[in-house]
Amino acid sequence: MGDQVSSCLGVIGRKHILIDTCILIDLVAHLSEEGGFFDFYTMLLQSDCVPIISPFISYELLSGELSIKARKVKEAILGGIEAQELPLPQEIYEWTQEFSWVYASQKWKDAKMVDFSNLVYLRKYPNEVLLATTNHKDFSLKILDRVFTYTVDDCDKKIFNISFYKWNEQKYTSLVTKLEHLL
Amino acid sequence: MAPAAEMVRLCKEYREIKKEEKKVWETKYRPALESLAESTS
Repeated sequence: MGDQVSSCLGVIGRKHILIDTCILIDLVAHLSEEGGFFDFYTMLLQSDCVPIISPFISYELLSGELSIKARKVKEAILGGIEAQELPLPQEIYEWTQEFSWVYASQKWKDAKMVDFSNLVYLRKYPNEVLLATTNHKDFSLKILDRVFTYTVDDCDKKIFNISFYKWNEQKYTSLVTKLEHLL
Repeated sequence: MAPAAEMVRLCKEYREIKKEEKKVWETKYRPALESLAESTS
């Protein structure tokens, strides 16, 4: 077993892994009998992590499909991941408003509701949930910890860095306190 | 989680559908839209 795989298994074992839409899109676009995504999927199979998604992630993945045929296959792929779709926590209304204020203050411009909802799960379950994403620009280390990065080398096509992020309440509270004094 | 072979099959099937969709778009819908645009300009 490669070093990367064994290290990653150590990090994600027994955790709930919130799989961001970008990972699902990349998997659909690149998974073949061999190559980096096959190894990544095989590693997830070997692990005892619990894949989870939010209603926003499944909406984002399935939206924009014109044909019913394509949508059905995408639904089957989502079913194949066997990710539990978690209900939206009650805090989503209050916390997403605060997140959007924090993001605006830092000029983190491109984040969408789906990104804020990912943060809500991370904040609500800081010891259980890790976010897996390739969308690094919307998940700043000013409020999160990057606990591991798994590199998917898709042969001569592209290299993807899948990072696992954990909520850091201390960093977040400290940033919010500073902003409250400033603004 | 589904076995890797099953996921590979589904992802390949999806990519094939999208390839076909692109072909239909290029040969049917794009010319029709372009012709519509010309006739209304």
